[in-house]
Amino acid sequence: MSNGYDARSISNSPSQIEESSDIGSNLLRQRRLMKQAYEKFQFKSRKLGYLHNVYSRVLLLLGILQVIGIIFFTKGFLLSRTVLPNIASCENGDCFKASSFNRTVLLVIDALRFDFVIPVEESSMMYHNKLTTLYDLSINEPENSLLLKFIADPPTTTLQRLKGLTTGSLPTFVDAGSNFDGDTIDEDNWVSQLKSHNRNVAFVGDDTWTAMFNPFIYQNLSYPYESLNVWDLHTVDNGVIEHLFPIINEYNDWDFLIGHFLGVDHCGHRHGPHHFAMAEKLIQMDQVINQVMDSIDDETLLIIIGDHGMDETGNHGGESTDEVESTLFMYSKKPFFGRFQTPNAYDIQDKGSNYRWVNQIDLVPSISMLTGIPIPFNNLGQPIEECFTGPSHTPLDLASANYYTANQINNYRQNSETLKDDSQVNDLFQDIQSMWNSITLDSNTSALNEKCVEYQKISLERCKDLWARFDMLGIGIGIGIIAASLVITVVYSKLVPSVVIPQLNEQMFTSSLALIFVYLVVMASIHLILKPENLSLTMALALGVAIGIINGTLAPIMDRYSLQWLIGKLIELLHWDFWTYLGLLLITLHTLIFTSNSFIIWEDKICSFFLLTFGVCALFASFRLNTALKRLITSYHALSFIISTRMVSVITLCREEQQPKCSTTFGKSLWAIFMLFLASYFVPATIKGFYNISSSYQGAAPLWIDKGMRYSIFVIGVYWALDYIENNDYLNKALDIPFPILASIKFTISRLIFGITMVAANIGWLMGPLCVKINVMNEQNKEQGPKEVKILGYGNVYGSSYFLLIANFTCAILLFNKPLGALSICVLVHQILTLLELANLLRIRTNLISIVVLILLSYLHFFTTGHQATLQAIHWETGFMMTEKITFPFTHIGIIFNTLGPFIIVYLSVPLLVLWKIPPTNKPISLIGKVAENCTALSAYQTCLTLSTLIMTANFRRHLMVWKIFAPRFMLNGILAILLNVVVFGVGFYIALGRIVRKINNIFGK
Amino acid sequence: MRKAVSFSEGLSSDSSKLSPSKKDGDDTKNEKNPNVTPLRVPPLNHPVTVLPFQSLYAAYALFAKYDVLTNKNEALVQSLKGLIGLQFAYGVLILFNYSQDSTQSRKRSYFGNFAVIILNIIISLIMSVPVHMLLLLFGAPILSLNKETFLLAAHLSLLTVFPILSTYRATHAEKDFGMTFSTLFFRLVTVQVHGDISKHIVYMTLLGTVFGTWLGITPIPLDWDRPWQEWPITLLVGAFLGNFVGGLISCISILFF
Repeated sequence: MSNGYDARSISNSPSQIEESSDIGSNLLRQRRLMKQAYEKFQFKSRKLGYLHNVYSRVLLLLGILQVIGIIFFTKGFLLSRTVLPNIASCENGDCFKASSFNRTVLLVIDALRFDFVIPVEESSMMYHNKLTTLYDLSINEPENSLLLKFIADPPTTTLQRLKGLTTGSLPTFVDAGSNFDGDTIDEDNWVSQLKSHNRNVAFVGDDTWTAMFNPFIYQNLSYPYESLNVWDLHTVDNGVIEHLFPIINEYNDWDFLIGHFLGVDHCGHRHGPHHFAMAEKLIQMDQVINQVMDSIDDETLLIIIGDHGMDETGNHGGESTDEVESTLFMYSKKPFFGRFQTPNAYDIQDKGSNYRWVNQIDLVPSISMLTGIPIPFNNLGQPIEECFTGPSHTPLDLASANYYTANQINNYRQNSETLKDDSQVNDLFQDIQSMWNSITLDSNTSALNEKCVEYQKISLERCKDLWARFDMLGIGIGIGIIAASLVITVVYSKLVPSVVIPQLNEQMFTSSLALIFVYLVVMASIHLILKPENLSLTMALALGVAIGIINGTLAPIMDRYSLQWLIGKLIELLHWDFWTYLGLLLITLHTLIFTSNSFIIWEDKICSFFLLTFGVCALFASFRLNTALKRLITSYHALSFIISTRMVSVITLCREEQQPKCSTTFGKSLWAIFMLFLASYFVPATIKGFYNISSSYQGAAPLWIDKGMRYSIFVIGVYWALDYIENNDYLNKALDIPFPILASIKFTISRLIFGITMVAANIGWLMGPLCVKINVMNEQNKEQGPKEVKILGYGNVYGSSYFLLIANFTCAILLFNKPLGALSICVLVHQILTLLELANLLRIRTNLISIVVLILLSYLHFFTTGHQATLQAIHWETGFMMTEKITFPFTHIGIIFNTLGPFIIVYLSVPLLVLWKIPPTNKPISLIGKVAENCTALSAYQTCLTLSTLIMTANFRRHLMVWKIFAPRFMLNGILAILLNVVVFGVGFYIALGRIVRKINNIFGK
Repeated sequence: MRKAVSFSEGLSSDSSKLSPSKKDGDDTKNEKNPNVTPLRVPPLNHPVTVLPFQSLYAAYALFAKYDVLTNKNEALVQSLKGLIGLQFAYGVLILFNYSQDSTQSRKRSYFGNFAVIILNIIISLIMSVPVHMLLLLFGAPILSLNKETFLLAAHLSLLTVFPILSTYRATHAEKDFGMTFSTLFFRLVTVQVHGDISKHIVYMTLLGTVFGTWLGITPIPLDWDRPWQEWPITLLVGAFLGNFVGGLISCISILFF
């Protein structure tokens, strides 16, 4: 309609045919000519394929370079602590049994936040005042029971917490990623100590324990349950209850019993703490605790702990107060516990914020000494005072407990290379030693106790400080490599004239290969001769590869062009138009937001602000176009871009730091599911509208868009409706559909949609669907004029076909996003199409601004699909949409499509900026060059962001917020850099673009 | 609806579409509207005298005189009243600076001239409604703080729309510019002014105000918890400063380049 080339007409005039009437003599010549032409075409298409391949290889090298840089930085930044393999023993008589209990029951209630168990007056929260037994007992029977606040060390994930609770050390941030494949623990811990002292450890509950401690658990009484299916609130808990009481009441062959309940945690993940299921769960826990207390005998100690808390959304992993505060409760039928003498130590005012607290690692020496085993070798905790000051204890008991712990910590420190030379701490221990040696039965022990507490505190601080030490060499190399890759990308994509690039590619690739081998040998020999301390052989070789690529890609460029010429070219480029300036401004500002934690926190709002800036500029630019029709259409697209951006930016899942200035709007609501059903009509209709602008709604388009996409979105709507029914207790009871049937229908739907969109549709796409239709006109009245053949959709032959691939991915990504997120993705598709039209109308196809807007769109929709750059905000549950258990590709694909979906869609759409609305070109190589320019510009932008996060994260490594804000953002950028290289260059450029250009060249290129 | 267009036409469009980006930009910039005469800012006698010092004073008064930090809304209303007075004086200043076709303005009575300025102020205040909409689209809170946003919009409108209306004397549109009032008005508010922008002092103050406001949101997310970080104080200060800086850049450009 608006463009003049939406159809192609070929006229075969009769005179041309008559010319070749002299068939006899011309036949041979004609054949030869045809053969020549065919060979020429064959040669051309081979050349096209070859050049495209070389392009892809160079881009692959750049990708490898970036990945190596990120690996170096990660290795240097996320240091893991050194674990000493030593095992503590009682050989030196350093063991101490401070109780007469012969059995211990340890119940872990996952995510039992401290304010769940204390009375909170006038609170109507679902989680308050439900689990009341613990506090009542600690007030009414103080000598029999003890309730303390139990502070977890971040990261507050179950695996890390169990490690801390059994070894007494501080698991680091890196371990957080291994939550899903917990390995057998090789550090000294009290479970293995119990086993080696011939105690039987019975176990029932969360299978994280068996993953870590299976060799030490008494196999006759071990009942592990699958832990990661967070949809299921009751299976684990009912299993624990089923086995717990028979073990306590009927079996005698155990000494230590561990029970791990998961219901409260799963309820938090699934419904959040405000749901009434939380109240039911806490009341159930209350009953279980009462029953356990009734069934244990006088010689049994009962310990109840929570491993971490939960935040307002029910998730955990971070270090906010709500996440680290959990509960410690101890109970015995005979009087045993003392009390802290400080007034108001057990103050429950203000949700217990001033209540006496102990560290979670403090449980380790306490359990060890209460059961009479050696304190685990790596322990850094101190004994809990109340356990050693009760009615049956002498003052010496606490002093001994403190001394033995200090002695163990000293042992550990003397065995650690990095800790043993700290004279300040060592002197403190000398004092303790001399005090201990002079102690008698009657002497005052308070001075010794104070010294011990101080000693433990200071050595814990020193260890924390040490484990937060960074490998600056690795960090520096990582930053250097990424900076080099940025320079290469900019030079390669913008400075070198695009005519030279095909020639240059070949040289770059071969010289890189050669230099990689050279530098591999160089680095290997350097490593063998110098033996650098903090550079392993693999890392040295990786560095060799990186230097080889940097040198190999820069050498041919520097061979042709001098540095002055390149700088001159750069300055020349800066005399661009308004749009480039705007693009550069936005890139600069986006890069600078990583300099402040506040800006990172508010990145969602900043992205939408930038996008709106572009929209308004496009609106004003539209008034300057030369025809009224263009002005109207452009301003319409600009307005719809502005309004959809503003609307979609209302959806947000606030991160904790945004409170109280932000209110979460992302959630599962009925109207969102309803809107999803509406979307199944409107989204295909919108896409159809955009296709119709260039008459491209032909051929494969109706099948893909009208049938495939419409039904897919509808079925996805059904999926989330079923999910809503499953989670809504009222509907659940009213409809009375059994849980297994619902679950199996949901699995069927999700697998079906995934199979159709990602497997069937993609195979179909690789066959090369075209959105064109050939209309033969003037057939009836041949006499009047030449025969006209019209090809509808000719003007957008690349774009319309390429977009179908994006439709495939969009449908798959829609499936894995919750209803509101899915709506956001639908808007994203609309925005991308609008941007393509705007890029065409405002002539900014290969301008920097289009790339900037695309990237900003991906970030905006990352936030509006209910994500934040934090570990807690990952929607783990989407990993279980296709399978019940963790199954390699499906769980991971679910989480990746959910978290990174907007990025995948946007990265795939980059080639469309060039391909949209152009007719078949007879210069396919220059077309590929233009797409490559856009792709590398995208890569350059993302590399700017990555580089900025690397520098800023390294700069703020001592910042209070580094693990909470900077490190997660750096991880997101690292993952995005890798994803970008895979999706843009691998899938988009290499597979999809190559396929489509060759296909169309084969059809129209002759 | 579908047009049959010849193959060659399609190809020619193709080549222009695929032209390098450098060319793209130039095309947009140099694009001439054949139907509409280019709209240029009328030259002023002493351009330097219309440097908007009043916006610097307004920014100062906002804190020193009206005490915006303790009583935000009241101060904003007072500041708006003050700004109306200041802009009135600024309008008079522009009025006495016409060169060349100053014959026309002399023909008008003093009363007539003042009436024009007052009319322009009223139009500017009405224009604060669309400015408010623009602010909402840009991400201003929709459900809360609407009074503050509107006061900000009124300030912005007075700083941008009023000077440009005064300069173009929109009431004499057909005589001076050969187009209807509505066409001129639409072209003014959609910023369709062509030519060397940096020498047009009034136009530069407009751009400066917009850019200053745009940058003015920057300090809001910072977690310093200072009273001046409240909506919309930083934007307003950004607007005032941008207004002055824009004029200053233009002055430097006129005097030294």
